[in-house]
Amino acid sequence: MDLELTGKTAVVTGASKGIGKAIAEVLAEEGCSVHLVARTEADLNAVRDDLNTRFGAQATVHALDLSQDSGIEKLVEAVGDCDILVNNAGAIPSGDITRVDNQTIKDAWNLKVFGFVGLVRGIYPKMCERGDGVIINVIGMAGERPRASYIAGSMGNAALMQLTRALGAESMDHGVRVLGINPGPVETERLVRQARINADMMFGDEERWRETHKNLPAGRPGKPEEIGWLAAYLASPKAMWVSGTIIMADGGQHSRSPRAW
Amino acid sequence: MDLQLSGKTAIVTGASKGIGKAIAEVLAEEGASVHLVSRTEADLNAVRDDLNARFGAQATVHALDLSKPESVQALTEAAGDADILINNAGAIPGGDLSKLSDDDIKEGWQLKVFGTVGLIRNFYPKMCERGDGVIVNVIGMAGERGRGAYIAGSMGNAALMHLTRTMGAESMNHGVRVVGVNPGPTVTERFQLLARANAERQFGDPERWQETMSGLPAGRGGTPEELAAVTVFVASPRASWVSGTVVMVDGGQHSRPPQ
Repeated sequence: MDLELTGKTAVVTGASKGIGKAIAEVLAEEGCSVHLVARTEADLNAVRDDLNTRFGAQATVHALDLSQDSGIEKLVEAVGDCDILVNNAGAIPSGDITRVDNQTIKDAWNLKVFGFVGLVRGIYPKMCERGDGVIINVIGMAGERPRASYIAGSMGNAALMQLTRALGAESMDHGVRVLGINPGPVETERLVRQARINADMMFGDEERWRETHKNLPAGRPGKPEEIGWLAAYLASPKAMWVSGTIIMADGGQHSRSPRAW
Repeated sequence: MDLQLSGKTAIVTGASKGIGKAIAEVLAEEGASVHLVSRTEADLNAVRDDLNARFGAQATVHALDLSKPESVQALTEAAGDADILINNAGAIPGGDLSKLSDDDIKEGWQLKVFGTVGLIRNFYPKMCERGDGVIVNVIGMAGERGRGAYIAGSMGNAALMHLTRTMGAESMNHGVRVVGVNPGPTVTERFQLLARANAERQFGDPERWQETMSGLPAGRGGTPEELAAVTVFVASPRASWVSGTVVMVDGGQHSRPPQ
């Protein structure tokens, strides 16, 4: 399927590793020039060089902290006329409501929630003015199926899902699509690190980390490339009529029943 | 993007026109061989010949009325080892509860709801046994946002959405995915007929049918091609981590505030 992405410009935040890197790779393979955003320049340079080597892709690096307004302003100024914005950066820490005070929640939301909001605020009107553009918010399943032990993330993700629906419901009138992807657990470095900690706690052996995922669909987390393919498709003109919705990408886990009594 | 559909076998019900025909076309273009199912052999033959001429695709015709259990059986016997099953056939008639008896509702559900259920009952275990397969249900936005004047369709679509989620939540343990696609208003021949009737009523002129869609996103309905592209993507191995969910394809309309 020709995704008709050749020559399009895409911005991917959190592009130095994990899901963001996987999305940047597929977009580059499909012919996009990609703006890679994260805090660490060295990591981004490595991704840029890899995309150039493997796909001959044009990639530009922006080492910025998007939890700061100044970071958002700099990025919007540099790439505000992009065709595709992929909001992906942001990991909200876990904790239940007794453990996370209000300041901790606000701090946690500065990158993921307010980072996404700030970039949308800066870039969405430009896309509407051009009559063309796609914004993809990579959010997270806890916004759909919350966990008390991950309260700041559950709330923050839900907020981003509503942002996506509210804007995406009207954006087609301006030729723009706004949509989301909700990944479940995905096998990134961060996930493996946590799984090793869990395996050490559960089995006394961190090498058994894959066993901590045996209750997931197909007994495994998602692969970063599985989110990458989905994001690239959704960013493409071949998904022209998809807006104002969040696609669940977790092997079906979110639709499972809670444990039976 | 190589959707990795080359050499796969897909069944498309309701393939003689509209969204089903568009789905068959995209599948054929991607290298799949397609089993085309609907009631009218002549219409299916035309689609088969067209797919062969344009894409060199292998397509097989099954003229069957899937509202009949024996037809569900016949299709299972003919194409039981298909990689992909796309349940698309079925148009539930409108009406509110005061107009529809229980029998009217059951009859309205016979093709779309029970036809889909019957095919899934037969195909799902075979797919699980193989450890591989995809079922895509093309349902309809009324299952998410219902209307009193379309009560049988609202209920029936909701039932199919929940079938999709419930089975798709567990199917990955068997290497099988079950996914839904919810079209909003989509400009097929049938839709145009209804829109022309509306335009006649509203403007006294059926030619102004496109104006009846001015309140929709971008002032238009979806195209069969747009619905087909999403359906074929979710049916492909590139959507390998998508299961147990229904993808809304309506330009965002379902997320608008209520009137």
